[in-house]
Amino acid sequence: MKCENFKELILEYPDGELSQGERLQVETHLGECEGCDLLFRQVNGVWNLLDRWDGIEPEGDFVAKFWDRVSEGEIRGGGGILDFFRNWRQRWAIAVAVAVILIVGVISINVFESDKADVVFTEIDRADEELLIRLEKVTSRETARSLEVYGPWYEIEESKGG
Amino acid sequence: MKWWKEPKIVGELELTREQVNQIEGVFSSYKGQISELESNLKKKGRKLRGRIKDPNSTRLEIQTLTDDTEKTKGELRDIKVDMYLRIRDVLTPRQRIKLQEIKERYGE
Repeated sequence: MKCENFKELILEYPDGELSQGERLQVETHLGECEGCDLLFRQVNGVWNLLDRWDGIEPEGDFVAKFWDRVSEGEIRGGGGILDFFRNWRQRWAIAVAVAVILIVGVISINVFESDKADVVFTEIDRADEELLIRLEKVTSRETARSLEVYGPWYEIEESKGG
Repeated sequence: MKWWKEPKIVGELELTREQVNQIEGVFSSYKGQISELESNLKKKGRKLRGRIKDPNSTRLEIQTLTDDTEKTKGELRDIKVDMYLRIRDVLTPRQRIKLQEIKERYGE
């Protein structure tokens, strides 16, 4: 028998689920292979421990009480150090998010507001205005106004009529 | 009045800061030429008035001085028109119409 085959059958050996031929092969191989013999004794030891295991039966309302304790722990917010660090990280994340929103808001206001014209009027602007007014006057004024003396005198016409 | 610096007009026209700066820039670029030609025109005008008042001045003299003064005035007028058209180019069509409406109201 090969060790691979032995390892497949060894778990069923203690339960008596092997055929007579298979049992014979297992027992023969145990005598021939020290490694598999050691493995058999270890597995057997575990099975024996499990057979001696005394299970504890929980009380009837154990499950209900368990979930009650879990709920109370959530309401209190936990008291463990891990909870403290989890909440600390959450608070930092919220603070950073609020700061980012504020910064984006301030920048957006400045960006949109900056498009509007902030008008500042100085003395130079006053001088510029006077220049523009003079420009209008000189370009519209009759050049040889002094020659108008030889033209109609409106005041004399009025006195003739009156 | 430099209407592009008047807050009410700027607001009513919805002029942006960029537009105000552009218009101011156009005016500034012509300021030197306007001042120089204005000064020349004043001198020529004074000379012409002086010759007209002189009873011994000749027709040719006054005609020459008048032509010279008109020429300088023409140059000044050309600069004025060019400057105003460049200012006009800064405005949108809607702003141009609005400015005329405001000017008419201002005149009242």
